[in-house]
Amino acid sequence: MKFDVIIIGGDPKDAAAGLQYIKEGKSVCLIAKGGLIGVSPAERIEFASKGGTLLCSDEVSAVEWAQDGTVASLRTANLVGTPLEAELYVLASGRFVSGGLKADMDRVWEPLFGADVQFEQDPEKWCDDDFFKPQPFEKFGVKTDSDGRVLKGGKPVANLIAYGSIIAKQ
Amino acid sequence: MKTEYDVIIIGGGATGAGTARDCAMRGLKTLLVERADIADGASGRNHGLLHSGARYAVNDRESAAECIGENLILRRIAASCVEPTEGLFITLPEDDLAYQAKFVECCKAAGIKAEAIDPKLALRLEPEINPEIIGAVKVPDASVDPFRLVAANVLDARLHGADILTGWEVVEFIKEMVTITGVRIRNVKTGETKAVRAHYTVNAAGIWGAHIAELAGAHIGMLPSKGALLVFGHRAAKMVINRCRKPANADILVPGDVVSVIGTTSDKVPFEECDDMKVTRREVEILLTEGSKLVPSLASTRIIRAYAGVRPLVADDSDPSGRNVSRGIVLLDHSTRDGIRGFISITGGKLTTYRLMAEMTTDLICRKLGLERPCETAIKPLPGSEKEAERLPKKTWSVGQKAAFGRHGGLVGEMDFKSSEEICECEHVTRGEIAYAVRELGVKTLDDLRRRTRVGMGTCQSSFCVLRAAKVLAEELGTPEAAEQLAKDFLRERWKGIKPVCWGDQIREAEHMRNLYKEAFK
Repeated sequence: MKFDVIIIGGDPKDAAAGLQYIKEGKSVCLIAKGGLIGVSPAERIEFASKGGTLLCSDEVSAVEWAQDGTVASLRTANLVGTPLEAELYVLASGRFVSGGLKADMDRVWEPLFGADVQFEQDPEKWCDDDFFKPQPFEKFGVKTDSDGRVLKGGKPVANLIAYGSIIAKQ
Repeated sequence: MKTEYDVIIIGGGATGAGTARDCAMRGLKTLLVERADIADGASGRNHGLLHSGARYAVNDRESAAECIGENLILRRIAASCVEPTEGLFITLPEDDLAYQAKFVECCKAAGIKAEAIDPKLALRLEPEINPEIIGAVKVPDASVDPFRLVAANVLDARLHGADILTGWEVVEFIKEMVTITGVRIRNVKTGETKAVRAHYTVNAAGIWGAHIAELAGAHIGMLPSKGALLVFGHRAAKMVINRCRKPANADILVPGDVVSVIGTTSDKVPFEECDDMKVTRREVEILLTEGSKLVPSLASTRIIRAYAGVRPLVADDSDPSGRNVSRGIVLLDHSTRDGIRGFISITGGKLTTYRLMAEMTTDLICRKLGLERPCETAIKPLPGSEKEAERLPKKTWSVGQKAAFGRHGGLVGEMDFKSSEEICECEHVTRGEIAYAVRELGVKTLDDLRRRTRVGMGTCQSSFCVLRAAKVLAEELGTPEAAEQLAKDFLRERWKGIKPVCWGDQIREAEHMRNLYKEAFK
């Protein structure tokens, strides 16, 4: 199955971004791990009625890479046998709560594409002592170039951009 | 509150609370002064292990014998605080199996029923332990809820006429010649001070007892020893699991309520750090690595919290270098030791032996006052632990009622369960239980409420209940406008324990908590 844009995410901002692409005449597929939390039924209908494809309660299970280092296709847990291809992939899988980033004791990584992740090397400094102060871990995220393309091994992936809270903050 | 007492006890930990109960039961006019809240120090920051004494059998037979004696007493008098899990001492392939034989022999000599069993049988009793074990010994360890234990002692002390003051600290001793005749205390919140007098003042302030002694003009050589522990989000085992070797880091896993606790480390720390113990990632790593050797599933079990307590180790009086530490109970009569009359320090010991420490202290006071009143704390059960029949929950009870029964035993009869409104869903704390805790157990903050009811101690670490709990507590305290501050203080307090284990699923919980509350109080 081919689309112009595949968005991996599922919060209201991701749905709105999807709609924006549709308005620009693109075919859009939105893969939402949960059930599009916070997106109203009216917005869903609008998204679907304009030709958007919604894969709710589904998640990316595998990524296939092209020789030139771009993303070739994705598989999802529910559509194992059907590769999903797109001109542009949007990584909007959020930070830790939604599983866009994972952390063990001393390392943070992005599990789907193995994107480069910016994080504090000293785990003692991941949190502030005060709960109400901004937490250093809230700045962790994937590295991107000036065009928003995700970096992997220090090089931008031409057809993968990051969107939303998964992007590293300064 | 009176201004003259027979006894003033400084410190609301297990030892102070137990001493207050014992003194009050023997008819002494008693005041307990605690600067923070009951069980706020080491009494609330330990394994929650009712030692069988086996751990000390090889190196310290006296402590071992004290432990088993008290273990058997507390199973009776504190039945609602004790869960008779029993315990195992396991030998791993890297350990010396020869130690086991010596261990069993020493246990028996100390009066501890220790039975070496086939490792295969041990694995059947407790399938979660490391399947590689080469030896196993069954001992009568148990799990004890230290918060409940201290609260029950405080409650019973009060029922016997004692006055309990939390949130007041001792700032000065009142002396007449060489005799201490009372203390000046200060309300830590308002700064108000007042003088209270007594025939005897007991220093039961744990590691802070060194400072109290200095205030009184005496010196106790104390060595603060930090012990860090981890709380896992499951009961990773149903028995207490110990490592059968010389005591070392992270060799005890204790199941308690719906969680399990692994610990501890043992590091000397300066006194300045005792008020604000922080667990480092390095300590967490040690605990996790060593703990997973006991119960392999710990490596993949969610850690919900880390905390640390400070053991009040006392330097042996006979050793001027201060290096030799006395591990047992230390009862100091400062009139014979330092020429300061009317002042007694009780320290050292263990949570398991708190009652014996209280008995020894109260015996000394009675002897000095020329009173012959026998100790009854080993016979008379604590409130909530009275009758066997009352220790069975009724089938028709709500979940919240059963949970409250688990926490307060027979005292649930005094709680109102007409509304089954649950405030904390992890621990099933209802509005009725909160109202009771405010009314009877001296609760002022959400952290106090946590120590009485386990509110906010479950897997969500108060993410979901903090606002509800703060509102209900503020209402019950009669200060509804205080709700916001109560909630903020509690979130800050919970954060301290989440911070050192902020990775894996717990960093998700932490981020979620921040998402919920970072904007909530602006």
